[in-house]
Amino acid sequence: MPLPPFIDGDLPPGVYPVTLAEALDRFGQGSAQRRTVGARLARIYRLAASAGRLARFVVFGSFVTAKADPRDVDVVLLMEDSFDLTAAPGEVAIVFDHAAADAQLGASIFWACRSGAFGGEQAFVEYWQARREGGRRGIIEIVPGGT
Amino acid sequence: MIADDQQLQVTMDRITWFQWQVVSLRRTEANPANYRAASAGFLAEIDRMQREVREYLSLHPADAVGAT
Repeated sequence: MPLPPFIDGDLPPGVYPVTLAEALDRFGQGSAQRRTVGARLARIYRLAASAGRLARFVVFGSFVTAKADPRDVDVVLLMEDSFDLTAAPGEVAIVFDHAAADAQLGASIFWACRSGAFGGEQAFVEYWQARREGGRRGIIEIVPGGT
Repeated sequence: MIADDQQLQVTMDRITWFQWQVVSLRRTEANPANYRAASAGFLAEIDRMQREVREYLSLHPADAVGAT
């Protein structure tokens, strides 16, 4: 499903499933900063997926808008309930450490296991459309395929 | 930075949602390492938003006009 055009610089409200390649094609091009943040997103996705328990991977915030130079990428993950952080190797574990992810991966990452999603899994995912200024804007969910 | 009372309400609502998300983790996550790591992100964002609220509320509206 192709992504819709921006409206006033934002995606229209909705959670849009795209592959990593499609996400990078739409949002990881343009300025050097955008390409850099896109590369960070790719690295984070691959690390999270390598844990083997990734259920959902959602990208929100300024990276999925028309902003020319997003500072970082905002990600929220849902992991399978069987996920055990203590079994994750060093680099993968950084993804699940909010402070370390900010410092080392250039990303703001939130996560929970599926059963810990407040309001239920789908409501949890849809919440991240909320804008700090009020209202909602569209977000993307990276789904497997085409990487 | 919060610029007006509408953004203040949005931020306060967002703080409440994040707090309930941490409660949800606390009630459901049996793995202490998972809980500590997952909650840390939400708690850090709560702290950040509460600083924004405090900064906004520390100014009288007349002071805030020049500050923003």
